[in-house]
Amino acid sequence: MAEPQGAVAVTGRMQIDRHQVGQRIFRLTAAGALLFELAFVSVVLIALIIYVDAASFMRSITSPETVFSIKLTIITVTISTGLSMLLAVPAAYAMSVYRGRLSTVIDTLLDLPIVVPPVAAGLALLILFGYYLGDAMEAKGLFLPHTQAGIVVAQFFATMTYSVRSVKAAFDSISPRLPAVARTLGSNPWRAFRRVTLPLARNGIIAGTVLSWSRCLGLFGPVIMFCGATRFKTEILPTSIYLNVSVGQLGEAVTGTLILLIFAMLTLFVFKRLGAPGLLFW
Amino acid sequence: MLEVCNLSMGLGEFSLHDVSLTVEKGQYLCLAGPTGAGKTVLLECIAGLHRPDRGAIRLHGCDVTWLVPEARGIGYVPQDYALFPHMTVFENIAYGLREQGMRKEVITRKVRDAAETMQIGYLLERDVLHLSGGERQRTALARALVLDCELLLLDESLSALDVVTTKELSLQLADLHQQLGLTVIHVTHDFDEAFSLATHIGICHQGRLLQLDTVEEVFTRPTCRTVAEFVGIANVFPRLGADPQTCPVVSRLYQSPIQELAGRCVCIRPDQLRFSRNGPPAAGLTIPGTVRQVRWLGPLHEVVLDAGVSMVATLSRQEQETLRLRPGDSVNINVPDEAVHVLDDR
Repeated sequence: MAEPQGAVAVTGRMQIDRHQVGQRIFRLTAAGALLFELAFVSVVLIALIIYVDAASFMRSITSPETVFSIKLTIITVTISTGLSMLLAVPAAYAMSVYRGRLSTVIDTLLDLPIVVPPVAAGLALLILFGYYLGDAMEAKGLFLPHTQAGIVVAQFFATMTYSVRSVKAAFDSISPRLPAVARTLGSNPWRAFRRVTLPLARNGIIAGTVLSWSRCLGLFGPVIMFCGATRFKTEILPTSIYLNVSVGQLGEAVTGTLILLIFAMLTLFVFKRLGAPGLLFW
Repeated sequence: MLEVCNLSMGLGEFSLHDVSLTVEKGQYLCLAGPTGAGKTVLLECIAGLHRPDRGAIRLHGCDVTWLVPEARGIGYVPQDYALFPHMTVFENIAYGLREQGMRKEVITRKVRDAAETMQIGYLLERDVLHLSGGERQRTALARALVLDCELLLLDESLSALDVVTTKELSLQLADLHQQLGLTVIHVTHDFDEAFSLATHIGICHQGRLLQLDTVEEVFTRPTCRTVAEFVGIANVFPRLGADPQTCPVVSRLYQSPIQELAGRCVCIRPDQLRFSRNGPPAAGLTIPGTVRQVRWLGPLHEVVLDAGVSMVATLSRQEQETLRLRPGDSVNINVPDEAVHVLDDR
């Protein structure tokens, strides 16, 4: 027997209501998770910011020790990022172009600095440049452990993979036909690279530079293992925070952290402006 | 002008086997064939983008097999046009001239002339990312032609365009070929495109060049089954010698013993079949058949017939108006001697 028309309409409406309720629960769950995460990040940052008042922040930031660590951090980070990018561009190009049997092995080897625990990386550097090469290098006047030059080496080791990866992603996105056509138009391989490939990878290279710079900035494990944390010698911002916390100077430690935070936010801003946010999520 | 001798190479899934061809100055050669036939690899070998495993390429009598692409002076337009996205239309067209170290005024004049020839003078300051398919194609052509190259290689250059733009550009390409006396090798998988543009056609299949001849010769006298199928000859009856029972009607087409047809196949051109409802048999063989389908293809009608085997015929509109063939009609199918070809079954 056929159902009355009214009953069919009621059943249909109930099904629609059930769908709408399910959809609302799903949306609320997703929005709730997002709100929780936003709140957690905000609360942690606010706790840090309100810990120091403006006067003590200004006093700490102008103290000779903080000024020294900021200067040393910026200098070492800039040098290591520069070195890293200088090698990353040709290395990434070679990896992007070379598709041979060894490419998986090369890829894995290059990823090792990412997966090796930071402290272990520092220890490995210490063993290489201290135990094996220490005497020979010292004889030539170049001893790296516990020196400022060592900080650059530690930062370079920890960040080079990120530089290569971001530049390689940029090269990979360029059609190989473009430099090929440039060759048929009269360019030799170097001119085709310089006039076509390199300008097209520019945003990726800048994004890689910013990313490497920001990773070097907060690097702690390999630096403390390889170079130690000596005040006014190998004291970069992350080691300065560690030193201040270990002697109970929390105000100075928080000031250092806030400086790192400001740098990190500036980096993020530049990074997002370049339109490469995906690169952050390796 | 260009001579390719026994060229062989493997490139991933694609390969070339012993390809030889000669292109004379002023020829418009279309390399046609299905996807994966090796047409693009052959073109890229000629452009110098791949090094062959064996064989030689000669340009004006000089061996250029190992010459780098920048020294060959061959214009090349790939399928996706490969316009440099960080440059304007002007900068794209000027790219090769700048590489030659020309003076700025000369470059500007030459670029403007090339752009006017390709009817894109109004686009010169435009970013290439904001061009339509036709405009991109014209820019890529201007970029290649501005270098005054004698040999132009086009790789599926019209395949990504809409019908109207394709027709427009085909006409323009034909004009350019005549006006500039260019020698062109144009890769395409489109049979109509090849026939509308080319003076000569090469049919590629599975890395081999099966036939290279004038358009008329390829169309009227295909040398093998694959070529016949590619040029649109629907009535191809393969492996006749192997199994004569499957094609009793076709076997009647020949008086020759069936063994002589081993390894060969018979092909009947659809446009050369004739029909009569009654009346005296015409010269050649006449077979009784039934009309299965009649399809209207614009200026032509395609008639699918059952004559023991399935056959296809094409009729002009006038012929169909006279005959008025309908599905189910019984007709006499006349196969004139000149409509029948025996081909290699490959």
